[in-house]
Amino acid sequence: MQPGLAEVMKNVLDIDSVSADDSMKTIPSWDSLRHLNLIMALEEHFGVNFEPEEMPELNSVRALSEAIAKHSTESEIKER
Amino acid sequence: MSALDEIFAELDEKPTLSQYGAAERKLRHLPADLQPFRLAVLANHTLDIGTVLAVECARRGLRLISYVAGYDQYRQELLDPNAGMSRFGPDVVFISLHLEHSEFAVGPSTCGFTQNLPAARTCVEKLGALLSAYRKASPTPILLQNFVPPAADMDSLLSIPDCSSVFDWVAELNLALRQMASSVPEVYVIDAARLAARHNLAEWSDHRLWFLAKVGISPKKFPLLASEVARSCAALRRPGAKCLVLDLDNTIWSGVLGDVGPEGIQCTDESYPGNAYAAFQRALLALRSRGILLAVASKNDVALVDEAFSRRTDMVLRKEHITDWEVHWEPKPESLKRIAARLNIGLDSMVFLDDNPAEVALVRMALPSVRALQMPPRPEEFVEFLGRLPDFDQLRLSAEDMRRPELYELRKKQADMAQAGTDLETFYRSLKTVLTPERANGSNFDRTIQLIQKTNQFNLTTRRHDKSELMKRLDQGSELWAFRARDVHGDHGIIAVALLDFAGGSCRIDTLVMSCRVIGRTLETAILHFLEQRAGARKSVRMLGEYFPTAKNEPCRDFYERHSYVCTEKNDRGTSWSRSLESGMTANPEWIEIEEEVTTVCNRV
Repeated sequence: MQPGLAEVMKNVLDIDSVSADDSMKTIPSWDSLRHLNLIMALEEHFGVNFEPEEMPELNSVRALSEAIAKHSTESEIKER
Repeated sequence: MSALDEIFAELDEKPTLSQYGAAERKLRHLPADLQPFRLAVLANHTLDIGTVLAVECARRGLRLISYVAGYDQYRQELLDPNAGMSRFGPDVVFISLHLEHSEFAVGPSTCGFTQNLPAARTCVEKLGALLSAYRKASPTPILLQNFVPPAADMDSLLSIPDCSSVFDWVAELNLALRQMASSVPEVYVIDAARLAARHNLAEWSDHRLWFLAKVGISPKKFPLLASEVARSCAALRRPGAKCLVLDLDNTIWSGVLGDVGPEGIQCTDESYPGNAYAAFQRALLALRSRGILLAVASKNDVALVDEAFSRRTDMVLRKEHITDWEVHWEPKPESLKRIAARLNIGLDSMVFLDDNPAEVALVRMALPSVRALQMPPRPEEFVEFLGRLPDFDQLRLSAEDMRRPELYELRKKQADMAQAGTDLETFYRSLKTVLTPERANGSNFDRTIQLIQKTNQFNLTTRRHDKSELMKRLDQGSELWAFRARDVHGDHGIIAVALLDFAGGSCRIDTLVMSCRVIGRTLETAILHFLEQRAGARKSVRMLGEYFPTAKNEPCRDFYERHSYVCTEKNDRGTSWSRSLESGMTANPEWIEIEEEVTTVCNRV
């Protein structure tokens, strides 16, 4: 899990702790509406852009972490 | 720095959605002194803005309790008295509508021209009918967001006869919306179109989120919209500032008068920086035309300032635009206190502007209730700086508000006349005062409520009834009277309000308030005379009244005693008074003429 991911999740989902195994199933405040705010907050925090196709799929901490890693590399390559 | 200030300082360093979430979590656990405020959010698109709104409301002293209606449920919520919103009982309703929703059918498919679009007026008429229907059922104020033009389909060059661009069409729509809003009571426009244009229209909406989940406004723009909404909520809660006190040198003109002389100061349109100061002076005049009093507190030679204003006829601001002056070398906090006393306004309704940080710091320290602000470093920024001050936000602007500077001028003339050595009765007679009682009706109701809400000094019971309470009382047979006054100097507008209850042969003065502008000219005696006549007409045999002391209502402490009422009870809250009408009524002062009640067609509110 990237440093910052847990922080953003705690802030946006209004929860006190996050573990690597958490998902929409384990966090009640992580509903489909709040999900989009979370996605936007992560884009803002990490400076990445997610594809609309993948947005609904990013429903676990693991999926989010992998997507952030993937897009961070992309934006680094673009910058070079 | 308070815990609250710390939260906002940290947020403003990095105002991201994540930080808003963090701030909201902290605020929730802070025992801060915030006023509870209930806001209902209605939208025809997905709008999960609650967290950001709560933070922006807290910044303005409000603790947000929000109700977010379901997606596209705004019509049902407005029309159905059993809908969730009515049960929630909002203080204010915020409505956000998105043009690309199917009801308006504006979107990428319209390809930038308006051939297939409905007429702007038709769209707004439907909305207007909806709001009017709601208004019949509820007096709750509505904040109506205007339409943001879609940024996406504006790029093609087209020239089709009888067709305007969607961008122009939205402008027309918004114009019609504003006109509609001003025709329905208590509907105020949130100018999102201006906000979006100012902060990168292309990013206002995120297409991915629109097509994925009908999110109409990018959450990254929530802070902007939420600030605007919260600012309006705060403006609805609190009265705006009444007086702007200005420094002179390098604040309203460039240069130090004492050094360069009246011809040396720069404040005209010929060249920079004078033209920037001229623009600022025009902005000050615009404020004045909205009823904000302008006053001067300057460390200067009074004769020189006089000379500058009389010789520089090319200056925008004239001497008569300034309601009060404090020009000398004494400390400015003293000047501000004197201005407040003379104008009879609270220090908390004053804003002070100075280019000198030391003066600003001194005023802040000595008079924390005055909003003291330093001018921006460059004069070209002055106008925008003034425009952004929330202190002068006025959503409800009555005709009386707009005439305030003129009325203060009148009062000054009267004070001068009274001082000119004539005895009091001669002075009263010379005023030729006419008092006109009116039943509260559609045209005077806003001012009536405003007086009940805002009057502090001549206010016997300080009962802050709101519109719905007053309507209820009228239905129960109470009488609500508004009093106009005019004299040789002009029309003062509505200056007093009284609410009378009738029961068991008694007429009880529930509320009697009178504007501080007309204290000290026996108008209250004429009003009491009139109220007793009303009691007689309703077959009451006695008058009842109360006086509840507050920090500010000393001026009416002896009101009942002065008019020969008998004290019947005295307790912690105050005193109760009574007078039998069978043994005679309060006489009307000879020098005040009471005009017959004008029977208006619309006696209903």
